[in-house]
Amino acid sequence: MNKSKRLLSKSIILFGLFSSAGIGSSVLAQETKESKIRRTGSTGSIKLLDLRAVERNGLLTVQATFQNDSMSGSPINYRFKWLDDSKMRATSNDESWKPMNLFAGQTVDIVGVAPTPMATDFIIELNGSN
Amino acid sequence: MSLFTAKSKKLNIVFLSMALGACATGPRYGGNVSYVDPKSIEQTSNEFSMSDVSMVAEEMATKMLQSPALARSKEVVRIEVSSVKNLTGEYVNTALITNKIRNTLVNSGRVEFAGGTDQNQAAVDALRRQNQSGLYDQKSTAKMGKMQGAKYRVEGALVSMTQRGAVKSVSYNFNMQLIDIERNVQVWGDEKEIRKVSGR
Repeated sequence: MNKSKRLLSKSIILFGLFSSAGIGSSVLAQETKESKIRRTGSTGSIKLLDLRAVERNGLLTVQATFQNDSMSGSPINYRFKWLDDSKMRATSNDESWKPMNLFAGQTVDIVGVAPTPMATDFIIELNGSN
Repeated sequence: MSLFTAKSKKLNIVFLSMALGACATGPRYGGNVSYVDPKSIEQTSNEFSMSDVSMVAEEMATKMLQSPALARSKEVVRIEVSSVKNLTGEYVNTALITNKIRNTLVNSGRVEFAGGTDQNQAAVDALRRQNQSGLYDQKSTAKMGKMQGAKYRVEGALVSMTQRGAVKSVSYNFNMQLIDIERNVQVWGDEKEIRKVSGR
């Protein structure tokens, strides 16, 4: 389990490094990071700038950086879905949706901490409430 | 006759107001009822809602798991909930928040909750029934004197501040502390803020 956690952390950090340094295929890296985001509603103006995942104190900790690319405020909701080694849900209940209002051009970091050491992977659900 | 009419008018008003009161608080029958996702964001009023309860509980539980007191411990940490006070002007059942936090922490596998004063009597009653009633096989009973004390105590409070101008703004602050019972010192504390704005 620890091995897979380390592997996940390393792979996401590496993708982040590759895309920021322009090494390798930044499109692929961006697509891989984007695959961790599940979008519903109108979230086209909300761009994923960065995605990092590390194991901190035995719990998977994720930080995603989003930017509102539009010229107006964008209300969005988000939540984390925590998955175990088998890509099954690691928690018995879904998280509640968290509301957030991004100003035009604003960049925000959203941070999620897995509530259980069984969580080794994640999905960020993003919902445009407009 | 006129006295009778006046009386019946008064009665009608009383019955009408009772009927309206019942309509306002009673169950709804017929159409316009649907199930919704309980995790969706509730925006029916600017008061502290179930969405806020869930947001506060999830964030505080994960923050507490990341606190040095819990994160650095190699053993499962035993905690008891002391009190979470509602210092707002609204009715908020703080047990909802503490129960959610308790469930998240226990399910993490890193924390155990010792029975507080509320659960103690039930535990003592069960032990007495098993050990003193003579009804149970003594090999199968839970033994007296094996209860485990908590290392930490959790305290918290929900406070609010309201400002009225062109719009009404309500700010909620939920703060929580972890206190080492033996040394009576606070070893962790954090807060979650929620601000809601609505038309007056």
